[in-house]
Amino acid sequence: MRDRVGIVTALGVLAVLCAIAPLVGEFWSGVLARCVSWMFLAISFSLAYSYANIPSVAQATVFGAGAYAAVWATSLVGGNMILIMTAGVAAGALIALVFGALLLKMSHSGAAIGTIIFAVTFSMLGNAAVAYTGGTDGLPMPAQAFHLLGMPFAVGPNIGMLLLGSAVLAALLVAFWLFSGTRTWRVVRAVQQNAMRAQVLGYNAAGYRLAVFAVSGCVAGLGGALYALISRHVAIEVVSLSMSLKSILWAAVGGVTSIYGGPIGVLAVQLASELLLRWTVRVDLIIGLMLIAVALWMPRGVMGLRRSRSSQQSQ
Amino acid sequence: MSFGAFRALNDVSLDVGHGEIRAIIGPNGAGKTTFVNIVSGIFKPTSGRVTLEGRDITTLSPQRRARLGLARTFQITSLFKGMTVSEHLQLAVRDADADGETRRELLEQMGLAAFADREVDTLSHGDQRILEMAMAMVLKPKFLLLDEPTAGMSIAETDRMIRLIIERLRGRIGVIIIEHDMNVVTQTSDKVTVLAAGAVAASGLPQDVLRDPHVKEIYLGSAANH
Repeated sequence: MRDRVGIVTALGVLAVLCAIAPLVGEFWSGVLARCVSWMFLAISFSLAYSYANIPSVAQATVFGAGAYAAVWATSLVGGNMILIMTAGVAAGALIALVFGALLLKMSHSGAAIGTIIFAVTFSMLGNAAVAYTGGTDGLPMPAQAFHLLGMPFAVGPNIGMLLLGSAVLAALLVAFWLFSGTRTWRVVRAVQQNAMRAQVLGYNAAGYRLAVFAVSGCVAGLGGALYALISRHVAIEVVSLSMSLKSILWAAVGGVTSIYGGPIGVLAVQLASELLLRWTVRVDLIIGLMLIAVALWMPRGVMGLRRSRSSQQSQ
Repeated sequence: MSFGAFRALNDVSLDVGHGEIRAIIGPNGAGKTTFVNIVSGIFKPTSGRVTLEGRDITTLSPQRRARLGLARTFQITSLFKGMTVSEHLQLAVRDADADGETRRELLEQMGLAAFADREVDTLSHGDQRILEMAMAMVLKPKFLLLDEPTAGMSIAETDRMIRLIIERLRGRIGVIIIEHDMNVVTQTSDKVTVLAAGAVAASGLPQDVLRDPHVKEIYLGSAANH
């Protein structure tokens, strides 16, 4: 079943971001552009958790792989942004396929612990491989004449990247919305709800879960590539466990069972953090309290409010 | 079939012919559902073989067995939340030539046509069980495993299920039906096998097996003889 309200809400949020960008200036456009790249990460967690049934605490590792792949690809192929983003997608898919193949051999809770181990291990490996990752100092995006579809493009925390990131995300969300009405998506939902039942109907449940997890990897990898283009720099903190935990928080606030919730979750948490920073240094404390409130009173996140309201009205 | 040191099934061998309905009865813990799980591929047997129309399917996954024509239903209703009756049948149909008309016909024959666009959560328990049966049947199976198809049903719903089994399955495909309701067993089955403590305790025609004092003792306890 296609979620019309969800897609309209998510596209509406992106449209508002793009509309206000010229009014808020370069700094806030850069903040919003980074937020858009993180929206991919939040969506990838929702896909992995709610549709591949893999509680992945390693989505930032996949996001980071996309970001580093973008930097490495820029050194190799120059400033062709389509190729750079493709490199991010491919890296994300590859890492997710490897992780997924291992995680599917584990139980649900075992997979959660497994992803923590992956996240920590890759973070340590990244720190150790300073020559390739730059370690904590990170790697700058090589200076290139960046171009998109033959036209020069200025990368960095600017309005152009905000518009590009939003356009790519909007296209992804629309593609997902169209796909969610297909028979294949119905099978994905069936596998997610009861894998054994789906198997005795003739479906390869493990194959479907791995495919969805690989798609979540593509989404995270694409987000990582955009992040690298926006930040023009990638450090190892991008693949840290705390970054993965942030992606869970964004997804939880937006509504983890809906991929349309990710954009709302990122904006709510990150904008609140940015605004609170102007008045207090205890931002993490306030955000933490906010999240406890969400967990207690909005367990389905913002997108879940619609269902709660409609069920209250029907009672 | 063993789970660690516990032997759930011991030397159980059943040969169910085409068109035959075989009931498996026995007290709780006798190994009935374990047997169905082995046949459908959810459990791998510690030893022994499973064959379908002479083909050894012991090592095949549940989905491969399903594609070869082995369908099953579950003891606990296993439908998908948020999907309609019609969507469930679309999900079950893997065969491209089983078109919408086939599905509509099946829904009418099963008495579910009026609920085609309703989400399954809103159906009665009996209709949910019938839908499970319809999902298995739309696969056009060569062999069907029914795990307590009338569990939790009212008398009227049970009668409806009995009619469906007799009209739609008897003489057409091989069926194993696990059942506690002796009325269902006697009305639907060609043969009955009694499992007790993981072994075959008796096998034969329903009227013979159900009259057997040994079976009564196993199935109903020693109170049956008093």
